[in-house]
Amino acid sequence: MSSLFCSRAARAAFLPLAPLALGAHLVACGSPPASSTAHAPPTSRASASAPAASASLAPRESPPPIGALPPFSLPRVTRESLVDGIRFALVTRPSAPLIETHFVVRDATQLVDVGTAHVLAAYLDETIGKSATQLEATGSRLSIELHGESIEITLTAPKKAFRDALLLALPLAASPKWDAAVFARVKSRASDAARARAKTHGQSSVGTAALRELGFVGRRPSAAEVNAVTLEKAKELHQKAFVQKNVSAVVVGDIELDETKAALMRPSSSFSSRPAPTRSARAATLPTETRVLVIDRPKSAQSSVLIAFGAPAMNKESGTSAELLVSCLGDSNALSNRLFSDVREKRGLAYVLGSDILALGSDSRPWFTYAATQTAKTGETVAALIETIRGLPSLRADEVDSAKRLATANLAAKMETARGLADLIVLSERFALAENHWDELSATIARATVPSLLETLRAIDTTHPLIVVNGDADSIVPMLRSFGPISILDPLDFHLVRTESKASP
Amino acid sequence: MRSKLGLLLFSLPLIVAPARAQLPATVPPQLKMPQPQAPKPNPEQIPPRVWVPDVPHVPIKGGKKPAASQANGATPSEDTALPWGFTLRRFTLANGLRVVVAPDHSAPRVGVSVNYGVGSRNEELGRTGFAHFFEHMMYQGTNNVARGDHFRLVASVGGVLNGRTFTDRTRYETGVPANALPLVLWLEADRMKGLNFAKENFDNQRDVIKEELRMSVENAAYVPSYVRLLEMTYRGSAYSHTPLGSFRDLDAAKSDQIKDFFNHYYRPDNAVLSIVGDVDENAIEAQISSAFESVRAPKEALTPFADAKIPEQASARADVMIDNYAPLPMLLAAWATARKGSADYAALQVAASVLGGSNHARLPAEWVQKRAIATEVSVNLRDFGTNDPFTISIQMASGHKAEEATPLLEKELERLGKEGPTKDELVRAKRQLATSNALALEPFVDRANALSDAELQSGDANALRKGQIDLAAVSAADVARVVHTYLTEPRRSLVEARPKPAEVKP
Repeated sequence: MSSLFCSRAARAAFLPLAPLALGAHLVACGSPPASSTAHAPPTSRASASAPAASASLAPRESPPPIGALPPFSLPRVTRESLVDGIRFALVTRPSAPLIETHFVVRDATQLVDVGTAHVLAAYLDETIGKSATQLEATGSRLSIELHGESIEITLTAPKKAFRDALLLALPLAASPKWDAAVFARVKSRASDAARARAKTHGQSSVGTAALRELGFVGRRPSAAEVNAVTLEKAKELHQKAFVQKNVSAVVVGDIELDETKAALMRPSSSFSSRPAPTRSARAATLPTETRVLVIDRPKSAQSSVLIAFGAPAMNKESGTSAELLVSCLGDSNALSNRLFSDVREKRGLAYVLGSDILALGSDSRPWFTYAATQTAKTGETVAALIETIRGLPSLRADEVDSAKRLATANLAAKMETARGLADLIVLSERFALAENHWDELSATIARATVPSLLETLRAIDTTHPLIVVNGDADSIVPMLRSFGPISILDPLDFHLVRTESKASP
Repeated sequence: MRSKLGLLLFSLPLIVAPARAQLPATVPPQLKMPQPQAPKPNPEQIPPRVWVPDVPHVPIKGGKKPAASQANGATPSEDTALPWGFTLRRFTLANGLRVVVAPDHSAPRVGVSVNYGVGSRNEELGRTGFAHFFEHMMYQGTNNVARGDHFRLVASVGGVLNGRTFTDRTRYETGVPANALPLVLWLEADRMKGLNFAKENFDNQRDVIKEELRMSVENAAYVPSYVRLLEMTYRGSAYSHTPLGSFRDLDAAKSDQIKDFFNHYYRPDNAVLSIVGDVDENAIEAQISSAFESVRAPKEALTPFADAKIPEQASARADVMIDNYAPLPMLLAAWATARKGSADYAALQVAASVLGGSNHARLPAEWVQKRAIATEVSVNLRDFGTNDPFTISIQMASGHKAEEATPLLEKELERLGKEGPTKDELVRAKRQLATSNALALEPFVDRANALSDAELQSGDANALRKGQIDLAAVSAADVARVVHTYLTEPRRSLVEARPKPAEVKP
């Protein structure tokens, strides 16, 4: 299968976790859509220099006008706490065939280290073993994975199996049996996987290297970080993180409140009642000067390029504006964004490219702009990405309007699936956002204008990006010297191999 | 198991490796037009709800096991544990365009899928990659839509879109707020009438596609091996090359050849439109008719695609590929099996699930978790629109060679072919497949795609439901039979991907 755009997998390869598409923020409950005015799409026109071959004699037509977005309300989110302190959020979705349940174990990567969090999640996922086959026999699915800074236990179950599946799955994760031999096996496989990621394709390593450099801990570990994990550290992390006061649940499906409470009560008591862990907030280290990191991939036919800045946090008004800016620049869902229309469609420099703000960090978040390009055009592509970012001050009202509509439309799209709705609420839980956060955000989007976005842009330092490129160092380093001093990193563990100074202009 | 590695191999666009693309023997000469579908009654209402049959639910508590007759799943259960209710309406316009509508008012959105019966199997020798090239050209404007405006118009209403090229079809999908449906219908009807074949668009998209080729094949681990595997499996047929084609053919492509391609295949009687979502059920038929009535019916009848049979494979095929980017050895195996929609296909789906449907299925449980000789095992039955490929890939753990996996794989297949799955395995596989189906049909665009695929490939979107009924009826003996029949050593193609040894710099 080939596709017009890169697959989600290809885009995701650049990003160590799901991008924080703007729509994902809008968990407004019952809020009207951001834009409610009547809207006519831009009138199209034929290209005068290149008439259509088959229809050149036909009179030209215009697209039909589109009215205001139909009003819609997100389902109501009910928030409660169980007697043991576990908080849960419920969206009752009648007729959904499956119930989606997420247990969010917050800040796992901050409590010990990222390698330990990663291996612990993999270990728990594996030790479910025989019980998982029982669970699967009910049509249920269970996974335990690291999502950003949290470990998430995700259970998808048919309604009839929901209660039993919870009883079976949760105690295994909350009170695991520790087996040194299994742990060693899981760790070895995680190490193999980290090495494989480093070599298989370049996209994965640029994101990981950038997050590592900027000090974000919600990322994939390197092979060395995996190798440093011990069973004792995994136990320590489990003891700290898997406690009732650090866990919250999200349930979406054809189930009512009383039923949910009853189903959650017994299995959730298997989490420890120890106090919530204390965590030290780690501030990101945003670049103050332009630097280039090159991850060597000898004879690579392509280079993976990533430009990183810091963006305002999610719960700030400027954070919302930044996401609208990203949408105009190159949100992976936005089709007419500047990167797509200029760098790909006009200049043909890349097939995969985009821009996203990741759901990480508390004070500032990583803003990534990325592309995969042929080796010979690496320097040109880096320059094109930077130029497009720096061209954002010429933002137009129609671009902002599209971004606002896209944000609202993405929100509506989340309503199509139980998983989509659950993902929205999980985001609230992961970042401990206020209950009215989404209503506020919705209003912020409605208020956004070109001047307000430009004000946010002025506060973001786009003049000193961190540039990370994975490719054939021998070929690309000469093209990158003009951007800043270069550090050439080992592809496996990102340790410094050598440096090159910036070329004189 | 659909692992990350599986995604890399199978969900990324799959393309012919440049070196392999130079081999002329892989593409048969002159393959003509797609197979027409018999016209359907107009309009036809299909009242039954599409549903997901399931084997009866067995509570875990108390360790109850399913009864033998239930576990064998000989008959679909009355218990529809995973109901997914939506009605289908099918009709055909005067110009031959087939339409499927499935209303769903749970979100204020619509998913629209337009599926043309042309894919890489229709490409002539020396013109590989045309179907995919054309998919890109479909977004480059028309007499009424300037270049770039298709994207801008859809984005301006908050929509998303994509196009995908397969071996047998090319699909255009759009998701928009429900009120923007008229815009999407207008855009689809407009480009069905004609395109802008300006040289500038043509050259630019050629560059974009070449970049796609570099990313997905030249620069990716294991993909060249997978491409080689399919060449071997479908040798001598129209299915032996993948949709992206080759650099050579892309460079040689002329814009008038692309125009001919459009005139040949992009016609209303070779397409299916499907719409899922928040539509006005009373007005939708008129809305569609009005949008597409200006698309004229072709004067000449559609010539059927000469569905070249896959030559029967009499002996095992094997090859070794040295992979620049593979971190670990991998064994890839494939068999051309049954066509989607057949009863054997359903049994093969269950076999794939038993062998590798999750981390706890037979192969990963034994090789990845217990013996730790592999890091990932992926088992898939792909949709090729013909005798579909059943593929198994095994990424070996550090210190293990791909050749170790071959006898183990043979042994497992022999066992499954003789004994079939256990009762528990059968129940588990069928329930997991039912869950997969329910999840896959939830998003509107995905459901629209599934319906247009079914209508195009089977001539009836209800094939989607039939496939699920077939699944529920699969027995252990069926699984044993299809494994014994299709997944045999003489019918097998095998590629061993070996990491390229590190070069020592002088």
